[in-house]
Amino acid sequence: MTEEERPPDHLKQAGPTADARILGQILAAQNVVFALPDSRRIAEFYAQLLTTIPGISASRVCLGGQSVPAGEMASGVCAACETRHHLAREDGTPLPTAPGFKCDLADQPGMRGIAIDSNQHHFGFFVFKIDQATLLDLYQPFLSNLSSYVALMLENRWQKDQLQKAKNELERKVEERTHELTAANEELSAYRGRLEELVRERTAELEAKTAELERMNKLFVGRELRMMELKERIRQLEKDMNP
Amino acid sequence: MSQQEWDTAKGPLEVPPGCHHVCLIYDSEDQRRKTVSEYLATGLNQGELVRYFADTTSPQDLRAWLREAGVEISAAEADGVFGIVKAESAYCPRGRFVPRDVIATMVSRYAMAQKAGYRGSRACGEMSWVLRDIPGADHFLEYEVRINMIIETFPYIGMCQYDARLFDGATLFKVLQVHPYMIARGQIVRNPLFIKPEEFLATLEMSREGHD
Repeated sequence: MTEEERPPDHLKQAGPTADARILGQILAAQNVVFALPDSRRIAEFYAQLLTTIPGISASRVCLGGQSVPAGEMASGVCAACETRHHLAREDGTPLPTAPGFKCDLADQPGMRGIAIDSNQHHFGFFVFKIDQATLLDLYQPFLSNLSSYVALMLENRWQKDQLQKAKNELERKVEERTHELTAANEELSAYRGRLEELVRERTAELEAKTAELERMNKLFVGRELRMMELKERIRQLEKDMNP
Repeated sequence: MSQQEWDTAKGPLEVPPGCHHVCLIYDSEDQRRKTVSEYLATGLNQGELVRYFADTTSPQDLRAWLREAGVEISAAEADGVFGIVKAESAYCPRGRFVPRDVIATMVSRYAMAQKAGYRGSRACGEMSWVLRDIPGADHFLEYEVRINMIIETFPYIGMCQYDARLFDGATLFKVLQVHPYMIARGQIVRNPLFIKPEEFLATLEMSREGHD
């Protein structure tokens, strides 16, 4: 081969290369995660996806306390997995990210795992059984990106859920307080009604007493006038008798 | 429309050239409503014969969606341009799902649309009926694959809706493997998870044999 015929260095093939179609599949799978409503379905979906990656013969995705397999894979060690038990017990509340934590299944010979970690939480693992390590090596960085993407989406979803829960709690408290205020207002309104009733009763009593007093007053004034008339009459009679 | 023309002038739910079989995987009604009404409206505005196979959506709701999308639906329904059919009646006319029969009906609907001067034939179906105990319903993936095999001859446009709250994740993955296009965040995009029909059928056959 002459110097001119020799391919340039950047075109020399050092070994197998990643298949663009597989890379496209990994990228496309990122878009689907948004439509999957829960951890179970996400785990089922990605377990299937992983088995289509060259170099992987079976897979298991652990997420939210569930471990979903695709293909033949022993998983006896998963029974003792603390994370899984914790997540199942805590109803999917993720654990804080712990860099030292390992998946015992991924540590077995012929297996590999990628943690599904955001910078705050550990959500689970992609675990796969390898049948051709050199092929898998081509895709592992992209699967690692995919796990980060899934973790980021789960983190966002979790934070959104937390916000929603906080909002619901706040709304519940506002509703409770409104209820208390309404009850207090109603009580106050009842007191005011009773007070007004009392004022009306008292006013009526006072009016009755005033009327009675006026009647008595008129009676006394009438009697006084009658007395004055009688006195005048006596005085007139005395005058007539003793002119 | 060429791929180049489509690339420069596409709307979000404009079907690209060569795209005939799309899937929509959704987990919220708002998301579905927007996509479905735009998809149907595009077909009607382009003068296509449009059919909707409804499983859980009521005809009233669907009409309301289309009215909101600016489509005058009464005239289209009266003229037979648009029709709403119960999914079970469309897919299982004799109480049983037979993929080849449904595909034959699709082909004849396409031929009829061509003859009547429509610009195309478009359908949109809710697939939740396959989860019910209907004879043959478990063959729905075979049906989805076989549509891809006839579509070169009968470029029928169809969108299959899968509610992610009802189907498991593994099934949804297989659903994506049998649709060459998918709706991703409100846009029709080429689906890299799609695999060749023959390849998928072979896998399906193998998994059936494994179960036998």
